[in-house]
Amino acid sequence: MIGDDWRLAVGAAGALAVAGVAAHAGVSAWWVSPAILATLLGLSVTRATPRGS
Amino acid sequence: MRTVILVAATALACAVEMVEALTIVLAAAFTRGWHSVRIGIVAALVVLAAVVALLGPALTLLPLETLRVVVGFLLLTLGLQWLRKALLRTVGVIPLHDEEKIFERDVKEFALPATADAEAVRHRFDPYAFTLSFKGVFLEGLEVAFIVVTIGAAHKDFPLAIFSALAALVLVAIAGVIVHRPLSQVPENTMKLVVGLMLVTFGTFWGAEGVGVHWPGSDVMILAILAFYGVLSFVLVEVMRRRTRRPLAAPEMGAALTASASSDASGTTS
Repeated sequence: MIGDDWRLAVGAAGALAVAGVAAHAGVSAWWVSPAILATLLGLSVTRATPRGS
Repeated sequence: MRTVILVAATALACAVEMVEALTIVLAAAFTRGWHSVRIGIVAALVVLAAVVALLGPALTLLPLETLRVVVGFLLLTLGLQWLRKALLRTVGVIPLHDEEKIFERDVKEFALPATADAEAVRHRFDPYAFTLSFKGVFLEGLEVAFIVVTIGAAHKDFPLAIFSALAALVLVAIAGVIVHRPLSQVPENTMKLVVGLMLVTFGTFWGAEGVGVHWPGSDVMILAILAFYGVLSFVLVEVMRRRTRRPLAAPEMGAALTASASSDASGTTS
């Protein structure tokens, strides 16, 4: 389930939590989880990609 | 529209995993005979059916909002891993799955010792062959079972999710019987990328709904989220391609290779 990068699983939980807090604070929070997840995925794949290989 | 994407996601996920299971099963049957392999396949399918039968109804007992959060989180966890691996394979950081090569390696590994009576092993119960086929089908099928359970629960349509997975399973099995070789021509990585995109899309949509987010345009946003992650994947592939072309100082290269190798070593099944 957790797979190769556990940070993505933790990040998914975090993204939903932040979106939930923002939504309950009255903020229009639909963009929050996609933005966090996109950033996490970007960091995960670039971190695993060696430069100049 | 939502139903079409859900059916496609379930069927594609099942097809990809079953192509991988088929390679293991064929290698085991090729070296040890079909008798015990067949029993292993049936046993694994029974256990997977039990997982779906137990987990599915249990999930539907949850209140709707909690169910959406649980399903959203599970789909995000699975989908992000599939997407990550497919992106890394696209740029060659992780080698593409070569079913033909895996089959040849497995045949060598599963082969009987020279002293064994091959004909006798083929006709009696062989625990090794049973374990190989059971493990292959069960481990590859477990992710599919989770996808069937989560999508079935969230969409409140278990029969449709199960039917989609079974249709793909039967299709791969028929192809395997006809070809009698690993299905190396199947574009596994592209299928994984598409499934990853769909799982992350539904995970984002349902997970956010569950924690109280209101999507503008409601269901139409599913397509917008899918497009967003599709464009993101395209951009990430370009960024990774450029990154792999740029020369790197020795300490940076060591750190990146270590990160890449550790992620590769920990993900051997999918």
